[in-house]
Amino acid sequence: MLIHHRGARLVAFLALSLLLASCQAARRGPRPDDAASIRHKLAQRVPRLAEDPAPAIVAHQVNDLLSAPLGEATALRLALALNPDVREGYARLGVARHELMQAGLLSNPTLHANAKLFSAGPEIEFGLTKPLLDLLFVRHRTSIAAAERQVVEADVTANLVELLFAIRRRMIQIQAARAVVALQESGVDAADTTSDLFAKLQEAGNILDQARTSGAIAASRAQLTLSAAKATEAEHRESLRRLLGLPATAPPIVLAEELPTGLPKPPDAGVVGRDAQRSSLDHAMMRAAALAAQRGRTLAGMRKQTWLREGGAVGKREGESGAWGFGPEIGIEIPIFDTGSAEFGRASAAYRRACAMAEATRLDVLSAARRFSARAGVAHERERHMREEYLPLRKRFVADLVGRYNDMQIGAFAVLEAKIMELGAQREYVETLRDAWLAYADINELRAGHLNRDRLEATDLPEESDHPTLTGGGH
Amino acid sequence: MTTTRREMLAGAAAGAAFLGLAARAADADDKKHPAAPAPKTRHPGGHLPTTTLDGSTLPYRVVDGVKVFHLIVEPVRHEFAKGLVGHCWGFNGEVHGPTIEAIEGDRIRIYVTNRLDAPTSMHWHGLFLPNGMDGVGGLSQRPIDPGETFRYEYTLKQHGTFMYHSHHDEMTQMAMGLMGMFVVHPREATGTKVDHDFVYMLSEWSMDPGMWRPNPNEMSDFNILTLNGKAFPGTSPMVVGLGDRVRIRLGNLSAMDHHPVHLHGVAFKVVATDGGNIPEPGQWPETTVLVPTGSTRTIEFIADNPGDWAFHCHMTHHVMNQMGHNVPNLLGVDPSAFDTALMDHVPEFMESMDEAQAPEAGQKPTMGGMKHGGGHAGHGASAAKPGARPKNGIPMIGGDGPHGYITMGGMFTILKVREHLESTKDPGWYANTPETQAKPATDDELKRDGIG
Ligand SMILES: [Cu+2]
Repeated sequence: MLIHHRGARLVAFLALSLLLASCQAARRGPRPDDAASIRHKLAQRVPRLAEDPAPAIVAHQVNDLLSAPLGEATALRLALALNPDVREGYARLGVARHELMQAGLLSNPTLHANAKLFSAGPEIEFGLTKPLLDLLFVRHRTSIAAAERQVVEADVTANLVELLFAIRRRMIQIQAARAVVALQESGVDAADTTSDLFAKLQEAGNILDQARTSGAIAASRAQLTLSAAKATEAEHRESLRRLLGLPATAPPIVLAEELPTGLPKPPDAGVVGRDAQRSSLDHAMMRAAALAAQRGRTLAGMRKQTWLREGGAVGKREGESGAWGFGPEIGIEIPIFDTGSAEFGRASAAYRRACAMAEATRLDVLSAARRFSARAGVAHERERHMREEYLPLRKRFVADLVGRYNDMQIGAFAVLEAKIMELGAQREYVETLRDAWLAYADINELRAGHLNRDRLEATDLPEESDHPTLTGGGH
Repeated sequence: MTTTRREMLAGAAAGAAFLGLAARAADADDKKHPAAPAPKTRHPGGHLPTTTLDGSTLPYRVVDGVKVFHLIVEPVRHEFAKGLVGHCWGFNGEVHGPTIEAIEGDRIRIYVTNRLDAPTSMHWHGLFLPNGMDGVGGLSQRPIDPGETFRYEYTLKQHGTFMYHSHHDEMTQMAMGLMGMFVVHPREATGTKVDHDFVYMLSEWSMDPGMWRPNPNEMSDFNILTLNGKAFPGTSPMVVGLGDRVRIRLGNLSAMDHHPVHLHGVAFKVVATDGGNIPEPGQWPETTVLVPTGSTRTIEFIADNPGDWAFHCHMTHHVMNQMGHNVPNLLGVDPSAFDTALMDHVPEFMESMDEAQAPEAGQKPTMGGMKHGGGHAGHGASAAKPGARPKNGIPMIGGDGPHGYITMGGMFTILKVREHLESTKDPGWYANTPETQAKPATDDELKRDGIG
């Protein structure tokens, strides 16, 4: 398959260079330069994306890239080259660029000519006219188009930032889902073993049928939980394939890394707020839109006061004398129906609206910085607590029961059940770690300039709830 | 002190070569009970002082013709058997309290000092005494507060086998060990003269391996059953000469159980209860005597059959130590499957096995299928593991005997009857003559008797 897009080759280069920094960050958490460098590099490159020479990524290159375990850099490289949403963004950049060029061009003059054949001789008339408004307002029109181009550039850049972090989130979710599946598989093994032991005892006549059945129920329940975990992993894998824009023929994705455990302390909320405000593409976009609206209002005001519409020169040959006469020509609008006030009023309101939206966005960004920071702080503490306190206690409980088993005070079932509960706790930990990395991605995305409103409203905050055990109880 | 199982095996290899089985075993048992009771001298009235094996008799002084005793109620760190210690309550540093011994007609004065941090009171079980001396907290007297000393004084109007115990917050204080035996000899010698007069208090405790404080709240699941506060193999043997007349006084203050105590090798007669002597025509021969809780029974017999004879409660769960009553019944299944399951799924189990005493694994007999499989660390082994606390527990079943492992614990001891007895020191294992020793039947024997 052939992908042609003018920006893709540069984008691939861009992606590699900026991802060298950001991938490290994905493993170690937010570094001060991570978000800022992403934002900076994109801001430099994006305006030129529409002009770059056409590249081509062919199917075997896609397969080559996927043949090795996939890291974030390669994933982004693929996405920038293959994802049609990205190409749509490039195209919007092209549209904006040409609209700017168009705004700088003057309209062409018009040549009129006519001849009337009188008996005394033909009367010939010609004129060369040109609309004067574009001549008068070309500077303003160009500045409006330039502001609108800034809007598009900020928007496309924000989309790329969003794409990068969407990829990062999917990879985190796949890593976590894969770990959960592995734990769940251990849980199924343990539950099956337990069920087998119950069966042996029942066959020997030592326990009631219902005890055997309860063991089988637990094993069956564990299978259901495993299949649910596998479905979750598949969902996230497909979601990543879509983000990368992979063709149907592309091989399955194999991720390079496990979910990393070294969660650093999240940055201070004040730092996040300052970074986010400084680099906010959403706010930049709104300010550019406000600038365009402001210039639109100025233009509307000038139009209202300018009646002159056309100018040019005319020449005429009189039929009788055959003499030629030349002179200027102007056209003036007579504002008796449309005084231009409505247009000016609309432009003024549009400007006020754009200003209000820019301010609202500024507040949104600051609020998001506080919310994301608070979530990351909670997630970091939960991860630490589970790793340092809760999980060791779960493990110790199993060890205690092993001691009781060795003392012949309890049977193997109680030990296995505790082990299965511990696997459930490990699953809970993986999910907590995943949520923490997702929270860090939220922070970094904001600091890279994109306010992800979906994540802001996400309701998957950590909750105090009973986690389902792997066996679903039973004995 | 007892030798470890591993030391016993090493001793067998060295000792059997030139000393023979009995000598080797005797040596081992010598370590077990180094403090043999001193020979007894008879009271001028003809009575033999009692023997409280693994315990003691409370000393007294005579002040103005009154026998003065002092009981100090206090916390006691008590060893039920080697490897199993309980933080109990006792008297004068012992669990149970020392046996009080006096003569009918004696004026006695017993001071009771309370060194617990809880109030207590002392009841003299079965004795006829003034109501104000009966020791029922709240009824006969106010409780003895911590730090206080109470005086009990009365004249012994009867003889027989009695007990004393706390009668305040009874459930807790008796479960913690506050009890002892009280023997009153007749002023004039009546009945038979005995050569040995053993005293036993039967009691029961609840304490799992890894715990060290008895649980008074337990109502049914008692897992340490004791004779004079000791569980086999912590119990000392009764050593008597062939033809000796033997008296055994049994008192039971178990929380919830009566004990049918069975003696092998002889028949005995129950000659008295704590209510008094049983007239001769009312005595009948027995091999088992039921001792209800709150009662005493006194039995007498002539040790006319030499050997090592088991003496134990006949309730099978009362001759187990720290039996886990929540383990599944593994009879009829391969128990190794359970160990294998843990090996496959519980890494902590493997770690515990690495740290357990590997040479002991799998050497003990299966306990009715309760023994876990081949690699199992075994009951009582040091299952050190992450977060493990120091172990405090003993094997469910006793210890080594002359013919292998004695599969009893708890309320079990041995009556050793010997032809030639120089002291009451443990003489070691009885060596049966070959013709009186059960052993595998030979082919010739089977053929002779038509056994397929
Ligand atoms: Cu019993």
